[in-house]
Amino acid sequence: MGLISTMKVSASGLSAERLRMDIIADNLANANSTRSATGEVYRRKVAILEPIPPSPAMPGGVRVVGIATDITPPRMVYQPGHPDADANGYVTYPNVDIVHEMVDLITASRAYEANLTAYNAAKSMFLRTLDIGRV
Amino acid sequence: MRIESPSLFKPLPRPEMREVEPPQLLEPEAVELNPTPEADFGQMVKEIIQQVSDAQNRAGELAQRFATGEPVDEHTLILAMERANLAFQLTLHVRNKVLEAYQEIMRLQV
Repeated sequence: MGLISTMKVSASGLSAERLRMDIIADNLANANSTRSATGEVYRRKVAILEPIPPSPAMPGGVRVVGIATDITPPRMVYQPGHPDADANGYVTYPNVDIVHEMVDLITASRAYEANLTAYNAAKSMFLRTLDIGRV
Repeated sequence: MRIESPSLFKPLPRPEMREVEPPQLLEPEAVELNPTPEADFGQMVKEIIQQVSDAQNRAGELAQRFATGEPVDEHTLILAMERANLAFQLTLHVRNKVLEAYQEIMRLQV
């Protein structure tokens, strides 16, 4: 079942890109959060991907090993009237850069499409295979 | 005139990463054949049909969980359905071939 395992590889890529998309959505949604339940301001999250070691059942693929936080310093904006402003009038905003996230979003979306194309190609190869010998 | 590059183009600081616990991803089910050289054809067909049935049951179960609002990834569901569909089509082809061979034999002139 060679083509089926090719599809599993593409499926792992789809899962990984879906998760990246979730994380980017979270980053974008929290781009202007100024407080959180833990008291610390939201930090940008990044998915860490790694290849799955090839095995007879699965000839490769990708998996998410973890979600890391970007520890670049948060954005300080001078807004003395803000309820979350510190003593000097600065509000701590998350270290989320919208432009950066948009680029990541497009990358994740296109990578999803690429995996889908590979999946569909494998599927049509499989269906073509069934046509062998058909008169 | 010399154009000064504004601070917009300064290199981004390299983000330092801190590990947090990995999420649980729903792995696509691993369906493996276990070929035994001495297995007879009937047994083999039975096993394969069982696997096709398993794939269909899995797709059905996922569809039910999705319909009842459980958090099932859409693509996992669609892929399971595709997988069941392809496995079924392959089985159908095998069945057609076997039947064709049988009918061919039955048509032999005695």
